[in-house]
Amino acid sequence: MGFTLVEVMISFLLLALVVSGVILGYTQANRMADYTAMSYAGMAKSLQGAEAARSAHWDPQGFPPGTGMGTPDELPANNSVPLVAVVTNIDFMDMPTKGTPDSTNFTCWVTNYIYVTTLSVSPNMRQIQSDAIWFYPPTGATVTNTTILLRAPDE
Amino acid sequence: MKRSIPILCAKFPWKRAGFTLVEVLISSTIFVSCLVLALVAVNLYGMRVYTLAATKITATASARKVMNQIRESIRSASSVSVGYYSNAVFSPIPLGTNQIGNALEVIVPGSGFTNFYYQDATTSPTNLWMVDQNGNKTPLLNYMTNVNCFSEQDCYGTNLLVFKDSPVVCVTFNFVQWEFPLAAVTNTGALDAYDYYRLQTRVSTRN
Repeated sequence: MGFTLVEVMISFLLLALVVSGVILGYTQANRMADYTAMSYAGMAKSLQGAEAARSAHWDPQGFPPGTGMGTPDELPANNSVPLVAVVTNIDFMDMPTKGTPDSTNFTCWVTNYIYVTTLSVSPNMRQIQSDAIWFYPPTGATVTNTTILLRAPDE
Repeated sequence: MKRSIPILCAKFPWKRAGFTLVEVLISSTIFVSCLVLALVAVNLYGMRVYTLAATKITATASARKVMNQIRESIRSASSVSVGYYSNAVFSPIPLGTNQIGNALEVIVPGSGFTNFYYQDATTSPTNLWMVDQNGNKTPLLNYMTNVNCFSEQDCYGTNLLVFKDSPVVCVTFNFVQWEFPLAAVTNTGALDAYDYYRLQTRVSTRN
């Protein structure tokens, strides 16, 4: 009496499945930690963009009227469909990096698109949407962190 | 004549040819030993990764705390100004030049009190300090590598040259820390042993 080769192979296969599950659990935990760190950095970038857009001067009653820096409407709305970004910034993500801080050390980049649209004319209300778009290397996916704020004029 | 095993198995199906218990035990022992070694290695790897992550989180935790404090100060301030702080004197950046400096003046609304946050590269290990209205210094951050950590920007992210009613205050902290426990001192002048950190935030003074 004894175990056949097939029985032994099947038992080893089951064991290998269990072990591979354990190892996969470890690697998946690491990947999720990486993803969380990058998502956190992306969210921080998105908030920075929204905060910058919120600081723009907007006074619909200002004279002389105009748009651009130094005018009553520094960051005018663009209601085009599809949305057109009024500000675009590219920066590296705030993540720990090896070596000296220069552009060659950073592999995690984020692009921040800021959209300003008119939400309401009476009362005046604008929507600021700040999208931080970044690339997650392990899956090749493009991820977007979005912050949306509503703002009223300065008047 | 001794019967061969196949004939025996054909005649007595319950006496099939197979591995004996001893054989299976030996092979299982070898397999389980390999398995245990692999699991221990994976566990050790997990512990190293955990320690590395804990180190990085600890390194940034205090900086994030300080960043929150500065952010709340800016939000609640009646006025802020970027400049240079040296020998207990704050000097605003002259108009016409980039509003970037090592210090931030925060005027507390209603009280007229002024607090300063400033970076001092000459003090070690603490580089970032807060000075309250009574002149008391509070240490905030250690081992910073950038001196001009405060700047005023417009809504497009451009550094301001002139006074603006509601600027965006950009706060950037750069610092390095030994990459424990994975650090390796190599021919590159030990740079591999250190991680570079940057924390940045932008705060609008608009309420």
